[in-house]
Amino acid sequence: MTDTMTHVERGMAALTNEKADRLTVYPIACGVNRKLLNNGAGISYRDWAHDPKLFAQAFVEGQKYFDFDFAIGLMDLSVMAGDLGAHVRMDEQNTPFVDKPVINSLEDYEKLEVPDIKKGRSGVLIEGTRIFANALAGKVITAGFIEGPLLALSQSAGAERMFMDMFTNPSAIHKALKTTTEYDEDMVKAFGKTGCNGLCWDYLWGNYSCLGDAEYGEFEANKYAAKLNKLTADCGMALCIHNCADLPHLDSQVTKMAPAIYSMAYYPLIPGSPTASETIAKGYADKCLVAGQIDPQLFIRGTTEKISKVTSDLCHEVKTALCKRGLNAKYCIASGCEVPPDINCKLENIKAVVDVTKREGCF
Amino acid sequence: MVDGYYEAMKAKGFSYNTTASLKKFKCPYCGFEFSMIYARTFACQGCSEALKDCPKLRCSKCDTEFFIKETPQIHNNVQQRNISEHICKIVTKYNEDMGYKPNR
Repeated sequence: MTDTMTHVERGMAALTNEKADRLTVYPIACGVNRKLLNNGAGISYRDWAHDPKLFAQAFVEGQKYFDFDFAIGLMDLSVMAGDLGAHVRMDEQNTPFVDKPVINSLEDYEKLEVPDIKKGRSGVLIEGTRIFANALAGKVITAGFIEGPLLALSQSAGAERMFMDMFTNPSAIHKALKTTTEYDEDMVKAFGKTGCNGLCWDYLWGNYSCLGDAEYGEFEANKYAAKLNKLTADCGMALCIHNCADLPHLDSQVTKMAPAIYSMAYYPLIPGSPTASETIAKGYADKCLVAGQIDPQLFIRGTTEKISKVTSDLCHEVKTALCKRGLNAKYCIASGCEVPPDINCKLENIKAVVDVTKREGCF
Repeated sequence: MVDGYYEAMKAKGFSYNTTASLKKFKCPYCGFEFSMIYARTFACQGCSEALKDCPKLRCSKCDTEFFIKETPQIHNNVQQRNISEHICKIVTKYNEDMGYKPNR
């Protein structure tokens, strides 16, 4: 079936629960788009993550090639930690990660300082977002991507260390969270000037596997995230949240934080991990546009036939659940987490998800 | 041990061992829910075995000691050894950084 709405019209209809021609689709394809640059020869991850023009160009080329309904400017999750002073291992073609944390003692939590966000990869992220948001303005709904304060701290300190200190020295953690929150505030204000329509937060630790309600509330949701979410709205951006947890804090992050879009994952091997239809049936899609939940590994390991079948099944599951709930198109067919930016990731599988949604996701 | 969640966390820079050490499970004896890192922080604190790749965990509530492979995310001796060595390194560095003595 041919699309009868533009991407922006469809996205707005999905966000406001108006009738749409089909479900929206956005496999979270970010770093993998760099394979489309250089006349299809691709560029290295290192070049992509250090040059705002290349960063932005990848999203523009990705939009032309795949025809998504949204564009979300995720780079990776070591941007803030790297600019806070942690050493980031930057391979040519792999997602970078922190290999030497900046925090090695309790005093180090207090020594954290907000960096100059115009320098380092924070500056690349903001400038790159500005370029692609302007290039895609009016064509799709665009959003920047930012790490939440607790995630930035866990990357800077090492997750195990941060958790041990949360148990034994919570005041030190709060001091550091104050700094990462100020860093986030600077970033939000800068994103607000880029022209992107929304800002997507990664609140990774809102996960019952790791933190209960009280702990998550104390160390992120109640104080720090609440302030940052409000600032996001004050800066004119729609609040979006991405959380690929196995047992996400849906009440905290959907009901209380009230984002416009909530992106989540589903893990069939983990008891209690919420499926798309369960999430809709429990009323979370009443409150926001829920996005998910295709297994990201399928984009590397799956065949085109397999991922097409998975997408088709998800479209039908979601449409049935939305119909039962009396909703229109309040679900976006997406990957549960970023499509792996691996050199072996199959672009034809990303294309297949979009094409199958255009066909099977129509109303 | 390896499933989609571990893959997703690995893509974000958290190793399989890091994810396993932070993920809560129920004590097989009393049902108390805690993570391996929580056990090492409290119930195993000060025990010198925790710094010698100890393959066991101690529940902070019922004080029962059990093998790591009795938890749902660790399935065999190889994984158990792998994770115990990983946590040992974390705890050893933490104690050195904090100036804690390696025994009670």
